[in-house]
Amino acid sequence: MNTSMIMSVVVTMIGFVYTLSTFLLPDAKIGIANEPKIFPGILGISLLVLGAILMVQEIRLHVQESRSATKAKPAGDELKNILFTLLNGLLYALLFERVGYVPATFVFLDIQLFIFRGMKTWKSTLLISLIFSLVAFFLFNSLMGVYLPKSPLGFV
Amino acid sequence: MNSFQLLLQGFGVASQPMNILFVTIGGVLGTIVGMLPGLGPATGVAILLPLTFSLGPVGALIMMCGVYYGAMYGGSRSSILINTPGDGAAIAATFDGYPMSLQGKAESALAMSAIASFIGGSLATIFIALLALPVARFALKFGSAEYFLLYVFALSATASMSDGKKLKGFISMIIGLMISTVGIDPQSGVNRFSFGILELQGGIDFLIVIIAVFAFGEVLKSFKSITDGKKKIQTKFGKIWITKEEWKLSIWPILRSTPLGFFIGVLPGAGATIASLMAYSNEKRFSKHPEKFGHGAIEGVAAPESANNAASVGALIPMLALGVPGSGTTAVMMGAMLMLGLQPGPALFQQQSNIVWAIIASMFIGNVILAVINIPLAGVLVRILAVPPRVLYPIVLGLTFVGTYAIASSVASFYMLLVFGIFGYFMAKASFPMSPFVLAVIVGTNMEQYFRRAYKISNGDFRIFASSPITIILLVLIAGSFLLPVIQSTYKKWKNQRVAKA
Repeated sequence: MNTSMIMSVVVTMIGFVYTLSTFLLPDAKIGIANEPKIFPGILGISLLVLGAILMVQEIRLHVQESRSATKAKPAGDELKNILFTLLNGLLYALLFERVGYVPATFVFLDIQLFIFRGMKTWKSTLLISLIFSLVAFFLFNSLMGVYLPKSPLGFV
Repeated sequence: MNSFQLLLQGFGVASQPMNILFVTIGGVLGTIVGMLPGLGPATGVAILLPLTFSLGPVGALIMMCGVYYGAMYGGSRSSILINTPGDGAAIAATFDGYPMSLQGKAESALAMSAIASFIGGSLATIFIALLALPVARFALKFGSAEYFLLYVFALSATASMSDGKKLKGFISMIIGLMISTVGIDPQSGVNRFSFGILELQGGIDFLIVIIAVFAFGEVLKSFKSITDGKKKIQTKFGKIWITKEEWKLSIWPILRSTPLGFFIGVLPGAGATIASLMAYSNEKRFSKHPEKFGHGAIEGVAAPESANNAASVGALIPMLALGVPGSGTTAVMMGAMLMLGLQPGPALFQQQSNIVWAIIASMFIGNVILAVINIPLAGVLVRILAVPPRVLYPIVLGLTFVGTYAIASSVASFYMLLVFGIFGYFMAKASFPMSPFVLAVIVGTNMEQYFRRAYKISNGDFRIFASSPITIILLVLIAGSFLLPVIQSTYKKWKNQRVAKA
């Protein structure tokens, strides 16, 4: 199964869940009772129908392609890197308010640069991460007035 | 006051030293972001938005316009030098720009791209100054039903323009609209689709969705190209300028392509990509030597470059005057305006006309500044392309997170960023066009409000949506945008069958 086919199933499922949730919404206590449901109802049913059409199209295409026996290229590295990036993002979210912007960003960028560049260039990776986190903190927090959490050390 | 007086007033505001500084900073940053493969004006505006938080609305919007413009300029730098367009609108610049670089004429191509962009952008700014006010005045006749249908038309036109994947375009659009319905409904207080998650009750911030889809999603996509190795970049140049013959060859293509690009830009859905591709094929058709196109013809750089800049200015008309963005990038610009507390539309022209005209004037000034930056400094700016993407992309990622936090002031937004980033990545991988999605996320709330207002006014009678000449015209246009893809594909099938029979 290729990505397109999986996504056609996913969007149809989204359409189904959304439509179901629309029907389960409570009535409005003021004004027209079913008013909050009409617009979402139209959307849900439309997605359900279009998703189903897409699924049929994708299945047909899949049958044709499997006859001509073309296979998609494996994208193992790409998916692995994406997974690492997402995990790194989660770690960043966990650390961000606990250890402060600069340390959390330093760790996040280090890991991200390692994912992109490998271990060989570790010195420049550390330097880039440090410079970026400090410059970004100064730029946003001090210059632009955007609040960013400080580290337990207090000054950054 | 007429347009001309208002424009002069706008120039008064836009030419203040601080505003010139803002447009310059925006232009340079935009050029840099625009040069990065895959990152275009929409991403540029999205990730650089937090930089404008401490500025007033005028300064912030002027800087955003600089970013928008700069990214358009920057996109073509990478097209010409490394055959990698920054975004869709810069694709046409690769056709002849890159062959010119290979022939050692990168200087001419870079200069021509900047000159054509400058002329295209400047003339288009004059058109916008002439047209924006009449359009805004006409839009005052619109009621809720008309506005709702106008949104439907803008969205369906964008979805049906998605070449070869129209069904996916419509699906993208509906999912975008669905996202805009999440959270507590402001009119009835009903909590919709938040599934008990507290953070979703306030709704999903469209800016976070944009940053996730355009910036985060692009970085995820880059994993594929990054492993494919990188291209060698020319960073030393001779004098970046064009010869007299090159100018003679290009001036008419520029003057022809500018109005074409502008009007395509005004139409919802078409945008700068289609404008530049149409201008290119037009010039090829007009040319006495069409065989030169694709092998380094300077007209092949001039025409699409003027058209795409004119289109990007034209696209601001429906956004500013009607409050209906017609492309992904203008949708992001509209998002920026909403965040600054400005509601684009005819009322903006009445109540805060100083801001609108300052933006229009700053486009003209921005054009001059960008041409000045891009011609002599091209050699310095393209060095950015020599910085390995492996370093740049993690930094872009770092900026997406800090940008998201600046918008939401909560770590919960990081989870949304990750979820929508991965969703955007898979959508793009499965060839779902993202412009209808982003457009829908931004206009969804307004669209539903207009729908419900019209529904209430008519006491639940749907005939209100066909009650005036304007609604009927809009309904015909909507039907056209739905039927056009069907007619096109039937015609194609019929044509193919005929060819096969013959």
